[in-house]
Amino acid sequence: MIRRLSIACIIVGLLSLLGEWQGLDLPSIAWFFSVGQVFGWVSSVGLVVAGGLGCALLPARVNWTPVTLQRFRRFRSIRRGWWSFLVLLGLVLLALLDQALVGRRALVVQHEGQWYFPAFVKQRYAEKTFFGQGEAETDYRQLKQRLAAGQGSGFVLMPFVPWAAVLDSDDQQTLPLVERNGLFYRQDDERPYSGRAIRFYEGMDQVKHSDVRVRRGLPDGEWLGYAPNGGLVLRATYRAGEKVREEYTGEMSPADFAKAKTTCWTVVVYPAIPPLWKAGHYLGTDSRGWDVLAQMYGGWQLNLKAILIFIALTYSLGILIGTLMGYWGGWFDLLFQRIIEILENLPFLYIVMIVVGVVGVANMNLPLLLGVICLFSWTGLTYSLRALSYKEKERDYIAAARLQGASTWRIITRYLVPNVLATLVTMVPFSVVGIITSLTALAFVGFGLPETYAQWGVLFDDGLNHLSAVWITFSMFAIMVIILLLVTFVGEALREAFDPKKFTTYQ
Amino acid sequence: MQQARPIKTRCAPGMAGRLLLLWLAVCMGGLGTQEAEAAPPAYDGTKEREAFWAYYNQKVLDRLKVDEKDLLKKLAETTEESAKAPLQEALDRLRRHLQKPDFFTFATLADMPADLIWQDGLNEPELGDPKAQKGGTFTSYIPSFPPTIRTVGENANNAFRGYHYDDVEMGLIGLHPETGNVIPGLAAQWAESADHRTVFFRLDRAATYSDGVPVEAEDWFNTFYIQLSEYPQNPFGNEWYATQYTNITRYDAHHFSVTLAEPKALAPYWASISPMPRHFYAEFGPDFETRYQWRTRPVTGAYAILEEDVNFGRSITLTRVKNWWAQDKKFYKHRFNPDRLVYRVVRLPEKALELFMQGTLDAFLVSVPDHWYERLEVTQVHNGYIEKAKFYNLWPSSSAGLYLNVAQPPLNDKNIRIGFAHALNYQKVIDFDLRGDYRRLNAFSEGYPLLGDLAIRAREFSPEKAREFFASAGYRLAGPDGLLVNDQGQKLSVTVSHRKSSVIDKYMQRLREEALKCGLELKLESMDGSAVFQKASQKQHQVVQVAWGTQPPFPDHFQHFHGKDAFMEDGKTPRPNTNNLNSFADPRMDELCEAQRKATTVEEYKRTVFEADQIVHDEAIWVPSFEQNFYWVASWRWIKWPPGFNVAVSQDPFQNFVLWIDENAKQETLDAQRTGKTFPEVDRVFDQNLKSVKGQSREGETAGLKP
Repeated sequence: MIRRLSIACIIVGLLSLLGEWQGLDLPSIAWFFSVGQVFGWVSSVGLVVAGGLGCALLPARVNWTPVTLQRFRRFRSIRRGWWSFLVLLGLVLLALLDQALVGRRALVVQHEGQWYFPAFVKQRYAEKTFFGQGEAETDYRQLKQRLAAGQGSGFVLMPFVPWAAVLDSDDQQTLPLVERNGLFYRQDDERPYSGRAIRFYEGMDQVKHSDVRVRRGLPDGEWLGYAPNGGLVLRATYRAGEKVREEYTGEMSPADFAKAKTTCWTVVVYPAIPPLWKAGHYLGTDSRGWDVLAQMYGGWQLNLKAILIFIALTYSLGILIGTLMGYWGGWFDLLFQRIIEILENLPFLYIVMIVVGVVGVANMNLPLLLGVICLFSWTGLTYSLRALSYKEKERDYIAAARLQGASTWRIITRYLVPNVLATLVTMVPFSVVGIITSLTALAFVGFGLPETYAQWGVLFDDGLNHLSAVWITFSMFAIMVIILLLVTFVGEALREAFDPKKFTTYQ
Repeated sequence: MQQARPIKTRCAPGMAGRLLLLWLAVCMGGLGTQEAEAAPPAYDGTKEREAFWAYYNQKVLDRLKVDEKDLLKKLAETTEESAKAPLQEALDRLRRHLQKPDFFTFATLADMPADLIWQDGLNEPELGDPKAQKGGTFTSYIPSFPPTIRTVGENANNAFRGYHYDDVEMGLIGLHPETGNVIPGLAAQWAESADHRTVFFRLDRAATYSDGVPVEAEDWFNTFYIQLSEYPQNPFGNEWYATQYTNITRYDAHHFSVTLAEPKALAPYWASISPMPRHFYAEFGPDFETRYQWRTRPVTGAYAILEEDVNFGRSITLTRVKNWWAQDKKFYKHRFNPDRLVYRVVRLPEKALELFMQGTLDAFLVSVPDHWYERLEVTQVHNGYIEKAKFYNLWPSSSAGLYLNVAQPPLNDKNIRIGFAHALNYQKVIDFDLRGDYRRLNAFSEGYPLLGDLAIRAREFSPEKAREFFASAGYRLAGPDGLLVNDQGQKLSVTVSHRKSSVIDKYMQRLREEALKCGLELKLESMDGSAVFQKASQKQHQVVQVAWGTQPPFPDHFQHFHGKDAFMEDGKTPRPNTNNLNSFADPRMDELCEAQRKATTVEEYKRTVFEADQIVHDEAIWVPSFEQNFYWVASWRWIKWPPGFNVAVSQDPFQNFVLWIDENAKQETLDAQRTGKTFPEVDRVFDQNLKSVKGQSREGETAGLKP
């Protein structure tokens, strides 16, 4: 176990260094250097060194106590919890696939005999690499369409979800209208179409030629015509298909206007776009045109990062202070009790709002937001640990350790903490649920992170503002419920398995 | 007169202070209700007011003398002939002023010039529909309850003020919203002096306040007294009334004149001031703001707020004045039709829309395309109970757009600013988020009916051009995140502060996404509306999105671009609390701004406005966004509108009060809803004011494709 973990650490560290050296963008592993150069070097080298030390100094296997093994067995035997755990593990592995699964950059491009792997290298290929002479980064979805349409040779392999989680909106999607018996219909729709119908100039993306209001299949209401430069050419009024009035403004001659080549009549589908497989929107888009599935994925990744940082910070702080309060007692205990009382009485949400207000949403980032949340969250752990330590420190084994001259640090790490671990483990799922809901709630009320982070709360907000776009709220509701349920099931099983009343031993 | 305040830097005490303020605001939130407290003891300010005339006249005289001394000293020190000329001119002007220095003058009718040509403006066309019926209650909504119903002092400039003061109260004269010519108001007749500086008014003898007290010339003296007073917190009024006017003269109770500091085109318009009734403001004193916070005011206009109709936190109702003195006057008789105007507080437009569709609100001004196209596809509309109308209006553009603070690097580099303008894909926002219903703004002063169109075109979105300009500013290489970097390794990143709203947030994020294609990072700072403006007026922003409230007939470049408002005396610290959000100082611009304030003809206005706008464009200190040239309104069937729907020059459909309520139609509609009877669906377009929409240059796409 330890040997395997150590080797994994070495591999991850080496891959990270290799990626940095070769300019590769490896899924999840590139994260170390994306935080910052210093962090990247320290953590990568640290991982390699720690792995090496682990191999050299630590025993290859952990000698689990029979009680612990018994608990593991018990956990596995609770099928609901165990399967939930496996599903969660699967979702974590999916999250680690990162841009190989969800992203705007192609996995593989073969163009004019050359091979490119845009998703996995740091280099960004400008448009001019493939077509045209633009300096902006290539839009691989467009490139794929072009190659498919026969412009140039080669192919593009996009990730499963070909959209990035943030700042990647879909261009206008259109659906064609068909004419039957003089009436406009949407394809596969029995009822005549009511709404807006638009014709564009052929070959000019999104330059309108005519814009007409249609009622029950017939032009009815305002009819506006535009020149290619966007100037108004024609304004007319229709009633049930009959022209009531027509006026040309002189921006373009009526003959030229009538002769201009246009696309067929279309319905422009504005965001939020419903699930549209042809565009890769498996769960549709939100009202900004950002893909819902991609955002759910990005939000899940963000939650995982947040969970890692949050648990590490609050638990180390909470355990340390909580056990010391119990172990030392006296003025230290009194002082921290008061500090904790003050912290717990501050309205946490207001504090976060104030911090975001002062710093500005634009300058917020995950560590800062989590820092504020952690500042108010470590207190929750302390009281139970304090009580447990008070109880444990009076026991004989602690007294024996003390008599043998063990330091406070040794007593805490070797004797106290392992014996309260069972309680701690059962608290973790609650913390996980807590941090996920906190982040979502903060984003929902608009005091979360800037738009460069995919956040579930933002999607919730958008869904509630656009209730007619049911796919947003529905997807979000489903993912929230599923994740929280899975975590709760795991938590339930853990509590059951680690119940000290079932298997206990004192070291 | 702007008070110079030290600039707050973002240091720790400032932050702590802000924290404390926020904290207090949060704590106070719960205490909230501002019910009328026990009445303060009576106070009589009449004597103080009477003493003010002599005091202020003396003050003006003293100031003029000091200015004269200063000028003489400067003139003596200056050796250059070219610098002498403007000083001499200023001195001459000052001396002319010194010949008649009194601000407040009391004269007799005999002193009035005899050769005046009196005008009454009665040849303009009528407003409203002769078929309009009086009566009924019109219910609409306001997003928040006003902090006060005073019209002067702290918080008086709130959003509700327009509903009960600006749009309702009568001025001396008005501008006809269709023709732009002067029409009578409280003054039945008016006359201009030959130098276009002094305007003589002859009050309508019928004019009374809603409590029956006649309107007299002294009430305008009272306006000056209150506006110049330092009792209320009123820096704008203090400055405006002290610098824009030099004299008010009473000839008798119904004749007086107002003199402007500089000759102006449309002088009667500039001299048109609303009266402040002496009997109501009798208790004007040091505690004016608290004393008058919720005191209902006698009005000269058609609607007054009755004391019992201020329903704190819930609604405010305006009631039509019985036997209103102007009810049969030519321009007023078909307007102001409903008996009661109820403004309910509804915090969210979404909720207001629901209330409207229930029939609780009578009309709904639609501003979001989603509401117009999707949310209003309901049976009430299909069955003809709710009618939709789209009206192309004429109204000055609000100069909405991004204001670049040139005092902040990297925006001090003109190349960066031009590149920035090219990197903003507003066209996509219009096509995509706004469904093509808005149009791009081009010039700073658009939509002023008297000025006409400008030739300026907004810079189009073009990654190539943007990158070219960024490159000439030193940002050549692109980093792994796609952002351009200069030789010092700085990323090309600009922070845009804007008001927080779901629509604005959305299109700002689109701009951010598109700007990335040009190698520019737009950091978005989405804040509460007042916080954004606060930040911008402290000049702590890099770029801020602002739209201004504008009024016909003319724009005012002075407050936005004059160099005196850009920096403090040291020439580099931005001056806080001014509207020069660009920190822009340019002698050419200063000259144009001053010439504009002194313009006496429309032609002169035109020249200065066009040239100033050209500088704004050339220097790329402002990136125009977009504007609607129409408004959408949905109203229940019983709300009736004139045949042309509304007056051309109007900002919203309610501003000119031309609608009326048809009680029979209301009963009929309510019955029909019960019985299931339907009417034909009504969705009308009024495009009589839609003359043309100019094309935009679209990058690349249209070149050579013009048919």
